[in-house]
Amino acid sequence: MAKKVKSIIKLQIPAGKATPAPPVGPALGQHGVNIMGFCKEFNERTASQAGLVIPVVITVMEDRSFTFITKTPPAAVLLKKAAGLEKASGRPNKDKVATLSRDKVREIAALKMEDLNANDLEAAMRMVEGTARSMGIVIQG
Amino acid sequence: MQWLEVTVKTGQASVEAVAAKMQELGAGGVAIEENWNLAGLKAMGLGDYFPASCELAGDEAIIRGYFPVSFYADGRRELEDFLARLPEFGLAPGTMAVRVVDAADWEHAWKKYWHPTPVGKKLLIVPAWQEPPADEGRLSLRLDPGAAFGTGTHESTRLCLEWLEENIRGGETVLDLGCGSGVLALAAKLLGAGRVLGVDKDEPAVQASRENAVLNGLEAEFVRADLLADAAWDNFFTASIVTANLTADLILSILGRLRSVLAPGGQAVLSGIIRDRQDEVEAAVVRHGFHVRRKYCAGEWVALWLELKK
Repeated sequence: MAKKVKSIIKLQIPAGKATPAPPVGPALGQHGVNIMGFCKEFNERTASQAGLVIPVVITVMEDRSFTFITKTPPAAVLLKKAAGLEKASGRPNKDKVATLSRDKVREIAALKMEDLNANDLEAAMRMVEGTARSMGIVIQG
Repeated sequence: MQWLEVTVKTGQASVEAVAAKMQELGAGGVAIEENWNLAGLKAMGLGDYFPASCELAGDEAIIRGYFPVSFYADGRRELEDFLARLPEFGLAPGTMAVRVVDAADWEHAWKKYWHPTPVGKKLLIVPAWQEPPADEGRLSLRLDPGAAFGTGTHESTRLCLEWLEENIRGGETVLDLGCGSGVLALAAKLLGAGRVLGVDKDEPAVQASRENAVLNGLEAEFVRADLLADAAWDNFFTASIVTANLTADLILSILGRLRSVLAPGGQAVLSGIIRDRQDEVEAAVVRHGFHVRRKYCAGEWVALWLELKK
């Protein structure tokens, strides 16, 4: 059945652990979506990825029903994984905590390009590089 | 409960960096608004008709994170400092605004849009705060789910309700595992079941179920029980019907105990199984000595009607 979209909600939330607490509650509640219904379905679909933060794009239809797709982990998560980092630098301008090659950054940008709402690989690269620098990661090459 | 809502306005380029920073500072996730590529979303199968345009223009983006109120003293400055430095990292600058929000603002928002919902051939689920419509020729079940799961509108619940409608003849004993709002246990009672017991591991769910029983003038027992704790099962009676609208994982972990609460010739309905995991659950069910009498599907969800193998 053809469905008319009322709004689009993008969240980054822990896989398998959605609860009616923010950001899920306020983001969905304002559009009249049944919050518990979303949590149940999201948690079921992402249970196997527990421990990771997952981006999810939810479309809310005019009748308040919803559908969603999950994406690859956020760029920052992929950067941390690539650099073997637990936590980003608290003072990224001063304390550099890791180094990554430009090729690695390009790889992540290519993987995330579709999700980043970026127009081309160059834009996605700039975004991922900037994200890396904001975490205290030095890019070489 | 109160939260500090931190709203950051920035450019598209900074979305990932700001989202990551907010989560490092303790936000349990973030919400992001962008100028959406609507054609792309349509291509992904997220809907058929999209709004003509987005509320945000160009490369504007908004990121919202929610923090304990104490963040205003501990973390706000670090985030402000981070936003001011974004251009140093080759990203778009950002500004932030902070306000206190109350959970009550959104917890009840969806209720405005929940209307009496007919289920199957006989039932009508009515929000507790509305009067049941006069003579629809259906049995009205009034519900206030509170913070518990179960308005009867979710596919996994609906499949169970339809099964109960078809299969309750009168007098059956019913055990509802993971009762949520009490919707299944109370519907069973309304349809003519005898003794009914609903259990849930969450106290608010047990509370909501009891209140819903009173609201409908139905006699049903509700107790708190953790299905993963063996001792809990000793307090259940053996029932001719067991309903379990749970999750695939939870169903897999209780299959070993399910037999102990089924009376001879008893039947079980397992629901809340996401389609991807149907095969896995079915195989486990058969391994545990059950026979799948029928399968029901709705959307992404599957329910299984089981009998003990003779």
